[in-house]
Amino acid sequence: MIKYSLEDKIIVTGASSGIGLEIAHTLNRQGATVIAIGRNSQRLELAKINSSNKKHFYTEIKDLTENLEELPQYISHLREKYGQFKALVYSAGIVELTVTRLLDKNIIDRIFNINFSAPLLTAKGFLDKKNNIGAGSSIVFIASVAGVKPSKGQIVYSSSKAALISASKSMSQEFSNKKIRINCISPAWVKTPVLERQINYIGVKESDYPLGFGQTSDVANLASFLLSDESKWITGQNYILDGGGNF
Amino acid sequence: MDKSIFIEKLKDVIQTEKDINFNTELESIEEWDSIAQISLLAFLDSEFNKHLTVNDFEKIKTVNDIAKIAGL
Repeated sequence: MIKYSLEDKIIVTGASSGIGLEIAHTLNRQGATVIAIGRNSQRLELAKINSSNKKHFYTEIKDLTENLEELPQYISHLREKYGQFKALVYSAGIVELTVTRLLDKNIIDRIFNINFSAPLLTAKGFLDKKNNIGAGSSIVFIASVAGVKPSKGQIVYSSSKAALISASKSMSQEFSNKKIRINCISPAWVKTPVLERQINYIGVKESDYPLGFGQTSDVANLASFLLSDESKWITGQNYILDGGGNF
Repeated sequence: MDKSIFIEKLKDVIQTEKDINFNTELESIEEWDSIAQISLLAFLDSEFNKHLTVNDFEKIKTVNDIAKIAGL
């Protein structure tokens, strides 16, 4: 079983619900100090109440898309407060139906700002050498299987995730000589409240998945492994979690 | 939204040039395919903030059914 120490300070974004919440709880249970970032103060408070080690589960209320330019400084500000970080999990984002005939620049900008620019600029802050512990640091971006195998109605969403996957691979090469690792996880449909609406939209069936729909813990277990030193030879990868589904 | 503007926008969403009105059955529109259906979902979401489930969607038979969901 993977174990962290309290000195392992890990930032988790999108931590107030779904996959981000599960990752924050898992890492905390495994011994890490978690800095859980989310927009919803009530849900974040609930996340803290439900955490295994409340004393080392810190919450930060923040909309990461509010001011993209200040994201690197925001991470520096968190480092001043908590100390240098071992890891970053970027799990915030939006899912939105988009089709060619309804495309406009605002939709493209909005989705790319949230799903691509915000994670990259947050990572920029994390990767500033003052803000991480150096060798042994790690980033996991939560992308999507849509970034590799897009379906109808996902033009902008899938492109934003494909861009994120690609950027993380390039970023991993930039930082591999410093022994800092960067990977992506691309889940297919995982049962979360946020995705419930999309599942309803598109009519995804559990029978499409030989191993059933994914659970948030399936993603959290892999994220924990990829952040830990157990995966010290893995970087620049994108792991597809699709329960054996063939889409 | 004015009803005539709604009809024009809907035609654009479905990408049809057929004359349609509130009584038109969607199945009678040649262009009413899976892409048109996803486009309609995105249109109702972005223009009217209406999020439909698959079950809701299966009940839509006519243009009037769409207008009712849009609140017209």
